[in-house]
Amino acid sequence: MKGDQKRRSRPNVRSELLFLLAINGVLIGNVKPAVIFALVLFSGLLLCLFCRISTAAKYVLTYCLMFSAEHLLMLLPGISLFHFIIVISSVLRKFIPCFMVGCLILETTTPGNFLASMQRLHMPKVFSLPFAVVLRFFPTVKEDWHSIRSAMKLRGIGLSFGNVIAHPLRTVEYIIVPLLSSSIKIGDELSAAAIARGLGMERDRTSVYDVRFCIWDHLLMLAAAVFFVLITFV
Amino acid sequence: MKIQFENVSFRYESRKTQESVRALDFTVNDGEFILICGSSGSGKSTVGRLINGLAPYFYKGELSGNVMLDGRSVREIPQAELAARIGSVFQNPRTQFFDTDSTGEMAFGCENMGYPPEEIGRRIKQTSAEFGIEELLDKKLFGMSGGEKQKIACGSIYAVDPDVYIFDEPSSNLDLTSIRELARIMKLLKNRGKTVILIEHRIYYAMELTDRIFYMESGTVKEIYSRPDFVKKPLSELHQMGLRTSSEELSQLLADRVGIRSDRGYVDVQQLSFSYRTTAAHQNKTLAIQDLRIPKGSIIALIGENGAGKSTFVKCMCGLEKCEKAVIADNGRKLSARQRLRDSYLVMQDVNHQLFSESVEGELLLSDPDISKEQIESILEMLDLGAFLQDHPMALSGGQKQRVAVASACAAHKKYLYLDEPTSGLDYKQMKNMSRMIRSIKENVSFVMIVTHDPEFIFECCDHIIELEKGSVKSTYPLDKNGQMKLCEHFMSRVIDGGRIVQQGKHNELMQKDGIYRTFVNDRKKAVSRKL
Amino acid sequence: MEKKMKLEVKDLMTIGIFATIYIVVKIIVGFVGVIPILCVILPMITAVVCAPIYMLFVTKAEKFGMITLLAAVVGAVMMIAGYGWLTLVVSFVCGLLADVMTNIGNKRSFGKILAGYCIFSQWGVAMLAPVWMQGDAYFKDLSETMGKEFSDSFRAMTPPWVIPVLIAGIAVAAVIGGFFGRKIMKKHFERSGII
Repeated sequence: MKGDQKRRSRPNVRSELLFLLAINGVLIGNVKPAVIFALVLFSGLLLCLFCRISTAAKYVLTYCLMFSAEHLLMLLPGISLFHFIIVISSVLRKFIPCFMVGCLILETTTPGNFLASMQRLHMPKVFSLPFAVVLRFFPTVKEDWHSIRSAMKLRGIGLSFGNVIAHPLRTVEYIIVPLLSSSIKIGDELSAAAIARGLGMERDRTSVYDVRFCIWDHLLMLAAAVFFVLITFV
Repeated sequence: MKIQFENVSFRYESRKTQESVRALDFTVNDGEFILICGSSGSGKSTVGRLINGLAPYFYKGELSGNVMLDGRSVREIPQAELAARIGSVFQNPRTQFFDTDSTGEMAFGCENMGYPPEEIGRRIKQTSAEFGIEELLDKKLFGMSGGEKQKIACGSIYAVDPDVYIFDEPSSNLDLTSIRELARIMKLLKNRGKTVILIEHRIYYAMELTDRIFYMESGTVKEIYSRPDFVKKPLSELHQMGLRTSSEELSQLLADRVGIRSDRGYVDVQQLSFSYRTTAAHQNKTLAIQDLRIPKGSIIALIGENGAGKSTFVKCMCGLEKCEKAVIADNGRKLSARQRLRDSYLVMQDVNHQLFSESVEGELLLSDPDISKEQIESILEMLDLGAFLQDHPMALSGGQKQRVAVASACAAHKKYLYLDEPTSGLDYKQMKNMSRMIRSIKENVSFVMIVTHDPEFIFECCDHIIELEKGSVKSTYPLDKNGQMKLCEHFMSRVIDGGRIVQQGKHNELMQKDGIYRTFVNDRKKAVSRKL
Repeated sequence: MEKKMKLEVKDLMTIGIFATIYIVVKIIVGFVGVIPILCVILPMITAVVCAPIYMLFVTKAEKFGMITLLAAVVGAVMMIAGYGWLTLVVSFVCGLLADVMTNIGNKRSFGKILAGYCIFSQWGVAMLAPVWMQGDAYFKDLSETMGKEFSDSFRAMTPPWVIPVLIAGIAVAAVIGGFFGRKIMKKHFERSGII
């Protein structure tokens, strides 16, 4: 089966995006805590199925911790600062399900798959191609950053608390300049290789990825509709 | 496809004064295997870019003359068609791939051409079967070794099935095993009658496939040799042309070891264990170094297969990674991770990550704000950087940048110097310069440890070997007479003859048989006994 | 020499590369703002720190539309990361305006680029917007679940004038960043001949 048209048993990025947009309403306004919690659990399930269990656990646990902390603080005497922390926490906590779905999309979508899926949506290349490059380039820049950080440690100009407070702009310079020059060089090589292999604007690309909707997509879209209704109307 | 260069000159837009290539005039016939060699800066890569159209489409500049492909000028052929008929494999496996999944990457070229999915699937299957890379499919590229990535890159081009293949220094970042496999792929191409243009410093691995050799110097093709004429050339002349010695010819290298010192004591490493997850492969690996003695005052080569843990070991030694249980002592004096961090320096593979200042002088001042003018001068003098005091490090060449990094280490009075693959992509002269530089600073530091799989370089400048295998120390020995024999055996444990594995086996077995290995070992013994 | 104004693959890849660098640096800065209160000034710190990235990009972005797309791609990534669709919309608008500002007239000047950058950096407001867009329904819900004093005190801490102050703060930070960015350009990238 290897090398055949790739059909993975997992949702396509299009339905994942739809789901994400459907649950964006959780960030604003008035949503029942039970609904948010159900959403967090559902997103955790998605992460377990299609990403890593450890990631799912991390997010769900954080949510539970924040929720418990809020309610614990509410039992304490009413100090203004506590009020503030509780409310801030309750607002930030709502971002978590969106972060989870975002993590799912960004960590499991490959650039090729993304380009193929977006082409299906007739999204213009001027938008989908740079985004695909971000998906490709992100781990590389992360690696470069770790490397630069090690180099800074060895030179004694590392990202320690003291350094950042004492001369912040200089520390920023030490990070940004090598990161930029290294990334530009790598970016050039990446672009040259892609162009030499025919990446172009003129014609439509085909794909070895099978991006037709499968059962997971339909289930996910159903879930999106359900949660949308729950978030908006309940 | 027939390629003709008619009085071609090209000047990059960024280099206002100097032309990269001048008056190129030659023909490459269909099905020929051409090797283009020459020192760095001779314009070799530009020739490749002129053929695949990257110059001037991507690398802007002024082109005069005509590059003709089957009678048509490259300027008139759309980039899409060029990509279909000319495939290019580049030097850095890390920056060539577009997709993050290996199968998707293999399909990338075909997808750009617009082939139907079934056709793409068929081509990938065929390519992976012919290359023998079926087990590499459907994997994450970020977890693969350089050699595996390079094979996928070749496969991606092969699936498109162009007429011409251009390889731009493809072996630079590869170890010996991967180079042999690359040669096997090139042989496949030759057998299929493809036109191949190989731009390289290391010529031995594809020598038997080559039809003609173009030697370039200062932007022009100085000489064109046929293979029979070329193989007659003595090693010294090849070195003059910037070419690297092959592993078989290592026996001809002089073995003048400038005194292996064991009088300065040792740095002892005990109980160094480190568990880590490799990035995308999510595999758990362990480094377990029990008892290791590193002789001070020596230049040590750290060798081992990919994934043996060499880079991780170096990071632990530098104090960049935390290994709490480890006991590292310099002549009995224990060194904490913090002390090691303060006293160590690592010259990384990508030296761009460690230059922070706007001038070479600034780099040294960063290391030691109180450094005196005389000290700066003497360090730069020692490293042949005197002329670049006020230059911005980013404007220097790769080799010069490495020297600036070492200079900053000297200025910071670092005791332990580590280098990670410093000779990737260097031609002969640059490799010799690097070796000379390391030997010249040997006295300023406690030891120099170099992670490398470049046998020629090890012979040039190292005097001690530490070999790692699967996270632990396999062997460690000085490079005296016996040591050199042992090292040769290590690199020759699989004898090659023009890219084919001819003999395989342990030293004793191969000594019994009549063949290349025995001849080599005997020649080596004679050479060593003569020199020392 | 006539310049093609249509965006080519090379330009799109440049946009993707710089967007990635911008986002990675933004994330690094983001670790500073782990404390919830500090997260309000994050867009301002980002405006200063990411300025060299933007400045370098502008020197390579000779065609109209590239700055717009840079903002749009950054906005899209942030939206997908979980900050809401508003981020994408606001980024696109800010990017478009910044693009117009930078490219208006025949010649570019530092002033125009700086003004463009001030507008560009405003996209960060969108990330915090949900906090202020809670609306009356939220406060009603808040007073029901937690008591009126909570609702009142929080309302007092988030008056409507916070948003204009934030915008002004980002603009000031962007100006500082712009000068910082120009200094870096001169000191490193012009001196070493990369641009």
